[in-house]
Amino acid sequence: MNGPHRLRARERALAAMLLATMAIFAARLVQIQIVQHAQWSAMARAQSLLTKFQQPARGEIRDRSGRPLAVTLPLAYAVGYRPAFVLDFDKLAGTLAAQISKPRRELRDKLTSPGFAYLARRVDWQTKLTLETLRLGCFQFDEEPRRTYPSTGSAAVVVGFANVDGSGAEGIEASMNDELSGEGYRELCRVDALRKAIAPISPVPAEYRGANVTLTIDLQLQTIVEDELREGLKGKTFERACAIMVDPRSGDIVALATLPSYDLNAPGDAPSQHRRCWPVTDVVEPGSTLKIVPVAKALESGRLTRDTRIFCENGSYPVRGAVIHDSHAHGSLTVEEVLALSSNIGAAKICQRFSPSEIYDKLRAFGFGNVTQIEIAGEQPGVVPSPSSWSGPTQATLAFGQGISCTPLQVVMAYSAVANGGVLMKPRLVHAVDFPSGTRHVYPSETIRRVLPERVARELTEMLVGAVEYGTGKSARVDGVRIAGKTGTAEKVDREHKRYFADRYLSSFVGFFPAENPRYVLLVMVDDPQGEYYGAAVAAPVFRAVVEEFLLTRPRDFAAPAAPRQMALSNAPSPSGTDDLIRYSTVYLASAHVEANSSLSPVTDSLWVQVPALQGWPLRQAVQELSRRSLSFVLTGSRVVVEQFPPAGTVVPAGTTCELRGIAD
Amino acid sequence: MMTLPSSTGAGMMPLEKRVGYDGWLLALALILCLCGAMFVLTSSAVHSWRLYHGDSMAIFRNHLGRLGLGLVCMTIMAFVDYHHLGRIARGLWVAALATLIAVLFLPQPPGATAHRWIYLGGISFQPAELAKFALIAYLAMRFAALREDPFTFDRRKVYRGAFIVSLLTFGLVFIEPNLSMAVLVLGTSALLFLLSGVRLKPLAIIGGALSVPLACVAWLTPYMHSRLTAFANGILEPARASYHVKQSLIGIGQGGLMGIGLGNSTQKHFFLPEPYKDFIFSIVAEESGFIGALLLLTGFVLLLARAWRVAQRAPDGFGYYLGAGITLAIALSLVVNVGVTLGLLPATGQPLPFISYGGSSLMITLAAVGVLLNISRQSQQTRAEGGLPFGTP
Repeated sequence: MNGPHRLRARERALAAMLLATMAIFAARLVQIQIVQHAQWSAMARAQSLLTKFQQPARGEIRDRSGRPLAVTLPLAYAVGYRPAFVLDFDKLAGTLAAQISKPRRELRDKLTSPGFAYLARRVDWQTKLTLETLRLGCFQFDEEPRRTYPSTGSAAVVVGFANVDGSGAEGIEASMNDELSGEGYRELCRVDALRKAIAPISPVPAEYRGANVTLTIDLQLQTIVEDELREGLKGKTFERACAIMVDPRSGDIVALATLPSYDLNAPGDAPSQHRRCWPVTDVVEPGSTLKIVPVAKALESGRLTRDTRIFCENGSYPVRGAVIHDSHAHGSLTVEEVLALSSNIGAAKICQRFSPSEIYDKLRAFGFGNVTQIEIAGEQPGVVPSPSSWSGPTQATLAFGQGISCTPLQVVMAYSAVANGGVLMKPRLVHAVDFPSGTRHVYPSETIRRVLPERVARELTEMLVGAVEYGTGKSARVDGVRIAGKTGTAEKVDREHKRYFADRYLSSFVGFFPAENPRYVLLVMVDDPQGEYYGAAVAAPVFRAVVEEFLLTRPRDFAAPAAPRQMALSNAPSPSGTDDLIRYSTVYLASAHVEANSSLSPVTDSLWVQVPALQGWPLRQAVQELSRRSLSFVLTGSRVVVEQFPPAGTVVPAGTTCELRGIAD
Repeated sequence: MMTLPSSTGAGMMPLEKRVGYDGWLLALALILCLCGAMFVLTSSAVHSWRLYHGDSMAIFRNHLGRLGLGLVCMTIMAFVDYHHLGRIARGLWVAALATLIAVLFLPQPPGATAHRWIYLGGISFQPAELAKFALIAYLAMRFAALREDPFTFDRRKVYRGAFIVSLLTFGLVFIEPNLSMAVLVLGTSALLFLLSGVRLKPLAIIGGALSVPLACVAWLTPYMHSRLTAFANGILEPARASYHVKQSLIGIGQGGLMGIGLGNSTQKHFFLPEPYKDFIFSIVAEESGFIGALLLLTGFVLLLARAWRVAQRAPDGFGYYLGAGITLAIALSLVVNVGVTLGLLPATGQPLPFISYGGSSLMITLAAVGVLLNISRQSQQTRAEGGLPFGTP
């Protein structure tokens, strides 16, 4: 009974059961793989194919010569951590803290938390490599393109920055976000269970990239302006400062610097008021720089000339309900001197010669009270009060920039109009947008309107030259170049108490150079400086430092007309003596040739030149020859060159000033 | 006429006689291991890329290492007289029991809900696998003694002892908890009881008595309950199966007759949790289709048949029960794994012998094949000496 036969029977039964099971499996395979094949395949396709909406790589922001200001790096990663069998969390946290700049405690908390956690975002590939060599197997690296700013703080408020999610938050990054982001596109991908694309099935067209934006900013000039602004204000206490440089002929913003600046690669460290492009988005009361408006109106109307004398009440002038003061008491001044010596009373009196609507229209014509439509989001138009709302002293105070609000940009654009022969330009910040399809959309320079006849603009320029040469702007004077400019020291508005602060000022200097053929307009504005507060003392030296640095770095930018014109001299008394006046009136800066496309200024290519032999040459020809060789010159005497320095044959840096002595008169 | 021993030329001799052990068994086991290595490679690459940060071959390399280690174990066991196992069976089982108790108190990887692994210098080890093998050796030793010397041993005492030992092993694996492994342990030991000649009636009664509390526990333990209901839903209506089983079926179904090609699996892209471990059969069926899956199953059937033959021809009772136990254990693992993959059994985590990514399971399986080879070698010696295999009617 218990013998091998029963065993055999049971063995056979077991074998039969195994074979039966295998038969069931085979039948099941037939059912799933053959009969229901189509149904399961459809399910597989449904879950492993996905039409993804892809955001292309963000375009670059470049300066006018193509230097990168904002780029997107592909090799950046988010570091994820999934709980693992790590025995020494403290030690690991220490190792990580050395790699990822995050506090050790925070990292340790994340390591010991039960679920998946991101330890850091946007680490570079080197950090990834270092973490991988730890061979812990608990890290996950997700690719995430990182926006980075090679020239960290340059033109920070202009360039702006993009958020972690890749959309622009400030500056051009925000205002040109659509172009930079590019059009998203649909792509059929194979995805894994985490909906992550494994491989694209539809080909990705090459044109799906963000467009590259080229700015009018010139990184070299920008750097000079930034450096000199920082240097010039070193050791001073102030709330904020800005400098804007414009090419008046095109309206191009070639430099825009603010202080305090911030690191675009770590925007979170800076408060928001330092991150926004406040020279465009914030309004101020401009102060004396606005005096050009009534003076321009006066010259244009012909009712006054630059020599018309105005009695300046010896420093105190009561107008309806208020008393206007000058910082220095003046008796009778010409219109030119009112501007040069910045007499508030004089300006107010000029203003009062016109009807309110005439002044109002002129202010609006200069662009005040309108947005300039620069490519920065959140621009303020400022407020020019309409004549109907003027109170007693408004007409008088408007003359020196009180009771009107405007952006620093509007001030610099108004001076650009004067520098540009009276034509107001639209400020241009975006030079061109290059779409990935190959098309290039160039933003044209736009003329807004003629504000002044050319004659008046030229006359006003000469008066502004006077302001620098003998007036309040003396500290902006630079040997070798004629500068037209105006200081401004405005009392700040105490919004809380609706009055002016007694001890808080907005100091500014705005000017352009060379006066005979203005290439650049520069505004330097310092908000709430402590200690010395006059525009002449705070802002003008920065202006001078920038111009001096320019002369050294970019001499060829100062392209003068072939034959320099003898400019009429003001007959106003000169504090620094007649010699100086003559000297300045005959100093011209010359350059080899006017570039055809001067809006794109290349870096000087020929840095050293030979001084030609000029003795015996007519002065006019000698000057032309020097210009051709990128040399500047100083003339004394007339007719024929008698003596020259440096001697003929000397090799000197381009832009060096040569002295030519003609026959003494 | 003189017949020289050398006249039956070596080239003409059947494989088994030439090499001295069951060459077919060895060949089938090696072929399965090769297939396994190939499918571990195709199914693990994506996971490896992610787990090992861009090294898509890391898991495959680990597998090759463990496979090598397993083959070393197999070779050693093929040359060690299997009777030694009988002598140390009791000690081996006690040691296995100790590790089963120890594992309950050892730290487990974060996120693990069960106590199943012992970590020894970077290699994880499942004591339940060892315990299953030790239990087979112990039962084989006891049943063989009973069969060969029925008058020395008290049948009741032997069965009672074997029953308690089986139940203890089962219980410790069950509370890890590792239900499927516990069922495998219990199933293997029940089938060995069956082959020991025990009468069916008491076996059925005990089986019935055990299954009632087991069913209750399974019904009341939330994770088991949810798996059982999902299984019940899925068996008739595959589209309603639990997530993992459904993903497995999607892969298998997508494979069709010819498969979608080696390496082309979509399911290994994290749709299946560990495609190179418990669900590797799904990848086989997806990439090599119905034909591939059927070939693999056929390979297994052939291997099992060969192993069965080795057991039947064992020179003694211990060899017979040891061989039968090993064969049954492999067969049950196969059935459970493929059954789960096909949605015919509730979802559990059992590796497919020879094929799945290596670990303690692969090592023990290969060592067990080594034991079978040793049995086959000794049975051929016995026959050559004119003896009859155990179990000949």
